[in-house]
Amino acid sequence: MSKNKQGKKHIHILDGMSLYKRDKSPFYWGYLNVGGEIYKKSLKTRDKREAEKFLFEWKSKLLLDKSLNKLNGNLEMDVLKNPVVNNTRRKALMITSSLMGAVTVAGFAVPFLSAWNPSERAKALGASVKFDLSKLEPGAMAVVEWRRTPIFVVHQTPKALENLPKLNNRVTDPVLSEGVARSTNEKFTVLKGVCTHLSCAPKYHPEIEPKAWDEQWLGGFFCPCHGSKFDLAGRVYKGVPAPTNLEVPPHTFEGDTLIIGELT
Amino acid sequence: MKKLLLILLILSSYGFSAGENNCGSLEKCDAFSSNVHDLYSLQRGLGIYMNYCASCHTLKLLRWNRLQKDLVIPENIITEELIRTPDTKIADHMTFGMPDVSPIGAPDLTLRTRVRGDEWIYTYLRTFYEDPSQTSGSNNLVYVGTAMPNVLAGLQGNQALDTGGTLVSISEGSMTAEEFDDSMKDLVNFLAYAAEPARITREKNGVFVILFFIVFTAVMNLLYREYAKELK
Amino acid sequence: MASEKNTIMGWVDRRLPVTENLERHLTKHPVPKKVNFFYLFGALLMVVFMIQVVTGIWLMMFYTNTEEGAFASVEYIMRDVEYGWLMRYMHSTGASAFFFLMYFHMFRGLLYGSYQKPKELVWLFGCFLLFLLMAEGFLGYVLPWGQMSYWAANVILSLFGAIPFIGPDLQVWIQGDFVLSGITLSRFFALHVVVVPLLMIALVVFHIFALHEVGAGNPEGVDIEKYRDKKGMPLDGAPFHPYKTFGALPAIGIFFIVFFAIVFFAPTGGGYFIEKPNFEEANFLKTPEHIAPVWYYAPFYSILRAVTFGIPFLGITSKFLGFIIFAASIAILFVVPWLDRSNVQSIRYKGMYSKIAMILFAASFITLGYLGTKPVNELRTIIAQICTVFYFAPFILMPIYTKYEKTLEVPDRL
Repeated sequence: MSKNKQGKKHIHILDGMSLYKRDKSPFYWGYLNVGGEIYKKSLKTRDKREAEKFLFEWKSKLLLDKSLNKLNGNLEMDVLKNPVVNNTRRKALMITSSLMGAVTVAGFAVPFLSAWNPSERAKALGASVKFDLSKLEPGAMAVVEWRRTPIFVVHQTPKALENLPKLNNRVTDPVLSEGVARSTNEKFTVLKGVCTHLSCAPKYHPEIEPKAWDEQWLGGFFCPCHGSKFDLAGRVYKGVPAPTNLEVPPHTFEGDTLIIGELT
Repeated sequence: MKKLLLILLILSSYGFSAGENNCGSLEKCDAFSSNVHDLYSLQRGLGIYMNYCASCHTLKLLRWNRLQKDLVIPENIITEELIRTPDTKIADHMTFGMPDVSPIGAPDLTLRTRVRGDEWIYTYLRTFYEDPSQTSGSNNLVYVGTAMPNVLAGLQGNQALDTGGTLVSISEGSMTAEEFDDSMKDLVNFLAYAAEPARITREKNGVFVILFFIVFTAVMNLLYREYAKELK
Repeated sequence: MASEKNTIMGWVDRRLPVTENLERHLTKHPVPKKVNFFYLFGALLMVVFMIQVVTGIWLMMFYTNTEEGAFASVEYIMRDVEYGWLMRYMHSTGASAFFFLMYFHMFRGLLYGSYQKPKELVWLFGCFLLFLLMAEGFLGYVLPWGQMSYWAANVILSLFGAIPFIGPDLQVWIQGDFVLSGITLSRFFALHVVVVPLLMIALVVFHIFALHEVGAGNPEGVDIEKYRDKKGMPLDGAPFHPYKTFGALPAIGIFFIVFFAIVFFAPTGGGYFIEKPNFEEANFLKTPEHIAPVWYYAPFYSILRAVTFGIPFLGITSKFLGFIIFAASIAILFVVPWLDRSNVQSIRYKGMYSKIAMILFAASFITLGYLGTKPVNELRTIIAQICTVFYFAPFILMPIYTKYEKTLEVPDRL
């Protein structure tokens, strides 16, 4: 038994090697002096014989570390020194957890992406609108607002309906299979009042008379922005900037009531 | 020091035990917690609301079509029987044609259960009693001096306060006491739904999210352990 | 070196050292190989921060920052926006989670001396982050413009009015109006969504860079830098990836279980996360019967309320003294690195008094927190006053007890 400066009781083993007990710790602690460097740690045992054994093991490990250090300098982090690798298991776990991660990310993405869909308020504002057709005289046009778009509702005159097939060779897309007036109702045509060229609003010119833009005008829509011409059913003339017919919005007729927009 | 801690603990527990009184003149509100997953209860609650509440109270945050979808009500019943005001579309809010601010001071009830709590509303609806000193002729134990008349008297019958301060029935209504309590539960369930329509999906789907993360944790734990072996 | 490789990454690395910095700060950054669960809160805080930023951006897309529109827009989010309710509940629950994790993260710092030399700056940045988080939470709580938003903001703003001389003018300047109004709401919105989060991101970066410079601590208080291998890596260290990254994953899983359990089944947290009166639009004529802060401010609010006396001969009112002590309760955290004179870092090797001090501090913090959510009465005020003393005592007495108490010897290696 000897006492060092700090007053701890040391059990001398060899030169530079001793065991000691510390306050509060039930274990034996080891003290090593390897070439002038002091090492101390708990040996995590209450048994003296075992503690001695651990102390020797520790010293030889330190010596080995030191010699390796001197020889080729490949002393590494403890964790990298003794890898316990099971590669198949590792690979399987990596794949499973990557899949879980991907599902998590996708799961998080769903609500965030769906939040950009039209909200219930937008749907309410964009809901179908009703229009009473009984007050629309033949030859007259009404503009109904639907989803912030002017919708042209035209009450075709018999004369106009007669004239439409005559224009078949002057329009780009003459097919009238969708109905002469391009609607489910022979008398009324429903069109989006948006020029298919650059989104101006075409003007309604039902008169059958020579116009500045067309000598043989049989009535239709003329876009003042870039001179696109459409007939009364919204079919686009050949040789104008607009590429396609005026669009027909979804609509249904219920007796005298026109419903513009999808039915709920 | 340890003694001090002990004293502190005892003192604090004493402070903690002093409960709050937030049920008007009652010691405690009757226990009730709303359930929005009983479709029939919600529909019955809607029925009571339409018959007894809708003439004064709006539900200005709830849309008719949301109600239709969540409570599984055929659209024609909504448009033909429930929406009684002209020009009201199915996507509109349930304002029953009333102005934004009620002229008689009846509050909007959409968020009421969230402000007051289920128990408060449930108890309030059942503790009206006759009180001639009030302009409405009735008073309430939970909301003393409430301006709301006892519109449910027809169902519950009239109650009066005896000298001991407890409610006694003085006339019979069309429902027995249990039937009335059940109806009020339906009504509170409906109001709880109106306060948060998303609660139905929220409580239904939450389980799956949590189950997913339990599996997630298990897998990630295996992965971590595989590597942690090296940290010995 | 990756930068010498003839790959796309090599091309980038020769121009911008991405790989080098990733390895230095993330994948190969050495951290102590053995730590306990207390060391996971930092990673979880990053997760919550990200949740708050993303859900916050999404909420911002639908929120209206006007007096007339704010309350209605929150209900619009809750009802009309697809999954809007989820965004809102994640954001409100995230706020509570943020504070919960922050408190544990900081308590870890106190327990294991994570503020000691040379980590003072890491600690200081952290304290600033707590301060910013409190500001952020307060500003955010005003935005739904419910009754509690309005009246709680009134209470806090009137505190500024208690500052002698400049107080009333300062309060009006902050409000931008003579009362709390939509003008205040608009500027709080700007601060909440841009200014404070930007500062927080900057501070998080500083916090982490400073930490990587001085190295992470461990519950033993062992300095792992002492023994290094030839590459200069500490022997008791482990590279951040995969050991710590994979270690954080199960913790994140457990966090999400608890987080989503609250989001889906108790989003209002029984009135502690979203208070009942906040489902009623702000009404400047009607004060709610009982104004309680959200739970995470409760301890500090309790301290504020506990001060029922002023210092009349100095012209300090009880209101202003309350404000000072309230501010001091946060400010004192900033100086902890200079209060601790102990020669060991971790509570495990500190003496008896340090341990008692930590228990007292934690107990009084929790008690104050509980009291803060309840209405005052005489007894509660007295308890709050005692707890306020116990809140401050561990810090004020720290220079004395840490210097003279007997400490244990710290081992060399982990």
